[in-house]
Amino acid sequence: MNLNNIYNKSINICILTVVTIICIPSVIFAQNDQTIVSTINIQVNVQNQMNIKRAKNIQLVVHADSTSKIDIDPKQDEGAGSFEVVGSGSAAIRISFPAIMDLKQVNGDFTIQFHTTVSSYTARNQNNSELLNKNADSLKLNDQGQRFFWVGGSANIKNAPGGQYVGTMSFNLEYD
Amino acid sequence: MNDFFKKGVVLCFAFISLINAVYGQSIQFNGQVPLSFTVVNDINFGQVVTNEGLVRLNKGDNGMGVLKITGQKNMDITINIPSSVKLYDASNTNYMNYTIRAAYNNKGQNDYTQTQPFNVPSQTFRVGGRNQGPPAPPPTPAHHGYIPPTGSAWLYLFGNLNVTNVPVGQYHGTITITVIYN
Repeated sequence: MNLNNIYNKSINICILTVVTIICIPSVIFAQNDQTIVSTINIQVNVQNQMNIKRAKNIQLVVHADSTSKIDIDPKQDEGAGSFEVVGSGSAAIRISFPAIMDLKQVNGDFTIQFHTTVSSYTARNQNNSELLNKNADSLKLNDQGQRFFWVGGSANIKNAPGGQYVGTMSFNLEYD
Repeated sequence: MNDFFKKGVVLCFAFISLINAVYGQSIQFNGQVPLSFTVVNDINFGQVVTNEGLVRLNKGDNGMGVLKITGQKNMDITINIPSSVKLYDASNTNYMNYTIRAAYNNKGQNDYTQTQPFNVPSQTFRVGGRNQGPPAPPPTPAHHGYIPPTGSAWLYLFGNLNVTNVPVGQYHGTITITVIYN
C-alpha cells in the first residue's frame, strides 16, 4: 500500500472524528439548557348580581296591657317580614344577620330589644321554611335563582311605654 | 514518511485533547439536578358577579396559585410567566382579562409571608440561596460519587381579574410558565 494513501486515509479518519467530536458539545449543551415548561390552571365562576326583591316589613299592632311579650314565628306567622333573593340559578349563597335588633321609640328614648329569627325555603311556602342560624351558609337558590326568607322574633315589652317603635335589620348576602 | 508521522502525531494529540475537553463538559452538564415543577394550588377567583369590575386576588388569599420549583441548590434560575392571560367560558367566545402578579420565596420553605416581589414577566433568583450580600461561592461541580444538593423555591400567583359584562358561567384559563437554569 502506498504511504501517501495511508496518510490520506488517516487524514480523512481524523477529520471525520474531529467533526464528530465538534458536534458532540452542541448535544451536550442542549442537555445543559434545562428548560421546563408547565402550566397552572385558573378558574372563576361568574354569577348574576344578587338582589333582594319584594321585601315586606314586620308590622305589629300591640294593644297596651294586652301582653308583656311579642313573639312572631317566621315559619307561620302572617305578621312575619319577608323578602326574596334573586341571583344565579342553583347558586350556593350564605347569609348573615344580627341576632338582636333594636326597636327605638319614635317619640321617646325607650328601646326594645327584638331577638330575631329567620326561616328560609326555596319556594314561596312559609310553612315549609326552616329556621336559620345567624351565620347560615350552604344555602342554595332554586333553579330559577330564587330563595325566600321570612323574618320574625320575640321581644319583652312589659315595661315599654306605648307608642311607635321602629328598627332596621341588615342582611349580608354573598355567593358561597 | 517523517512528515506523515509528524502530522499524524499532531492530529492524534488534537483528537485526544478534544475528547478530554468534551468529556469534562459532559460530566458537568449532566450532573445538574434536573429542574422540576409542582402545582401546589391552582388559581381560583371563586364566585364573582357579572360586570363587577376589578376583582383582586391578593397574596395569601385562598385562591392564590402556589407552585413549587425544585432544582440544584444555589443555582440561578430564570422564570418566565406572561403578564396577562384570558379566561374563556365554555363557548370559547366570551372572556375576561387576568393581570398576573407574583412573588417568590427561595428560602426553602412554603411561606408566602416571606416573599420577594416577582417582576413579571421574568425574574431570576437563586434556588434555596441568598439574593443579597456578596456573591455565594460557585456550586461544587458535579463529579463521580457526588450528588449536588437540591433546593426548592415557591412561586405565588395572584393579581386582578377584570369582570366585565359577560354571561354567567364557569371561566377557565391557563398560565404557561417556563423555568431555566442560568
